[in-house]
Amino acid sequence: MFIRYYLDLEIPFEAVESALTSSPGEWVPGLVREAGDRADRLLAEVGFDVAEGRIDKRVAIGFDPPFRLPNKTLLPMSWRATGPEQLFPALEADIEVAALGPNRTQLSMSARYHPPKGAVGRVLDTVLLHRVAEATVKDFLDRVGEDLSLRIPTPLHG
Amino acid sequence: MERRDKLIQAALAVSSELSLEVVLQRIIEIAAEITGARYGALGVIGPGGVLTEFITTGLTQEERAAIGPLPVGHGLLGVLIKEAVPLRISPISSHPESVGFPPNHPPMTSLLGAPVVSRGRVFGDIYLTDKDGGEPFAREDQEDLLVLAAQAGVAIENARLYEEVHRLAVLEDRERIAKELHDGVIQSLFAVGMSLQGTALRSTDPEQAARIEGGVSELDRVIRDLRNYIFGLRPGVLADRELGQALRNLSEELQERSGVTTVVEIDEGAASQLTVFANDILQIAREALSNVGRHADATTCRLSVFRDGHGAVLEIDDDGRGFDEDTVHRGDGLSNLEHRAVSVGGVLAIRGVPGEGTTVRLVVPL
Repeated sequence: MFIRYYLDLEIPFEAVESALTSSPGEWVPGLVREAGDRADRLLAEVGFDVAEGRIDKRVAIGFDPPFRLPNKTLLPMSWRATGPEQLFPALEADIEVAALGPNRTQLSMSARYHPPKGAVGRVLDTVLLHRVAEATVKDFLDRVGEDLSLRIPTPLHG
Repeated sequence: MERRDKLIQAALAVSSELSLEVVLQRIIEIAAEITGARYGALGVIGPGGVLTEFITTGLTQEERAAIGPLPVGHGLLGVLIKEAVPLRISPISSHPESVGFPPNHPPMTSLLGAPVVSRGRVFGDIYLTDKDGGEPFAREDQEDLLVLAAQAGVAIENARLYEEVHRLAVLEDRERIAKELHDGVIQSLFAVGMSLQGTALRSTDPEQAARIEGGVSELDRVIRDLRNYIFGLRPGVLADRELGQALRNLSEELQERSGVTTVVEIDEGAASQLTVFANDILQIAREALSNVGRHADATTCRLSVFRDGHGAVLEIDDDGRGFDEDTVHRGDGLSNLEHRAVSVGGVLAIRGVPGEGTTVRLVVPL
């Protein structure tokens, strides 16, 4: 299944690209460190807000090296729930960073996941999984954008 | 033919012949003819500052084979390169930097050498030995050799510039293809996929919904293939003709990105035999390493290239969670690996042991 979400940032492309192609530990939201000898694993809490609070799930996140095109930079990533996975199917995505102008950058995420097979999986996806996946992707990218906006000063206009 | 005519002949070869090897062979032959040398050689420096090409005259193929490995630029050949000045010596053994000859090398007495230089950059050296009649080489011989060395320098520099222009053109082309595929084809497929899945979600007919979802899954597979193809166009991997180095780079990237400790063991001989399949081998390695980083939950991963009785082997194994071969879902990633293995005429085996790790093994018969 496909999910796409994007947001515009009032930050120059170069600054966004530089931040996102640095170590993921510097910018992935909800990052947690697992105790013990697996301290290098990149784990994060992903989820979304609901009326009653927030639903989070711990996932292992992986990144492939960034790929630079003339008009954008792609950052391939994936995540997989570390425990029971029914509500959070494994997801593959490209985070895309593209310049919209000298001081504006579009940050988008095109994600794909596979719902459980069969009729039950289809019903589950229809009523729940797709919404969970959409909300989680949106929440993840929003948090990335918020973090970048806080860390990188907005350029002065005029 | 007069010396001057032969020098003109060499200059014409430089300007009219595109094959560098042919030009250099002609230059060393003319140098030997003009000066009356029995033997001649022209060495070209490659990456790392060692001689990577060595063109000779006066030696038969059998004599060259008997000498063994080509010189790398030590001794007097190194002096020519390092000091970039001509040498005229007789006997050769009288020079303090002389290191003697390897077994089966014909005995040589006099030497005339010059650095191969163009615009101040040393590209190699050219030298002649054993002038007719056992005489030392003359100053006139040296002057002519310097002219020929300069022509060789221009030829090598031209060839490298030509290669660089070609390489840049290829990179530019790859970049353009990647951009068109990503911005055009993938975006369109993604949009169609989103539209279809919306239709499936709204459908009240389960059979119809299932058919639409089948189409969505197929689009997903195509997008995945296209992404793999685009990422395979990444400069710095395919541009690098050294398969072994490219595999090391992929492993280092995995370590940097995922924290999985990677160990690389490459038999360069086996790697060079796989070079003809470099693109597919790199894609298989990338996919397998990417799976280790994303799914294996591994601490260490080893990438090895070696030879066994069946051919050249690429093996990637990890100490991660492994999988149960009886129950594992064979996803698109595995199909991609298998298709690529078939395309190089190889056999792919993926073995998992729950809790102990996974081994991806590609055997390419040679």
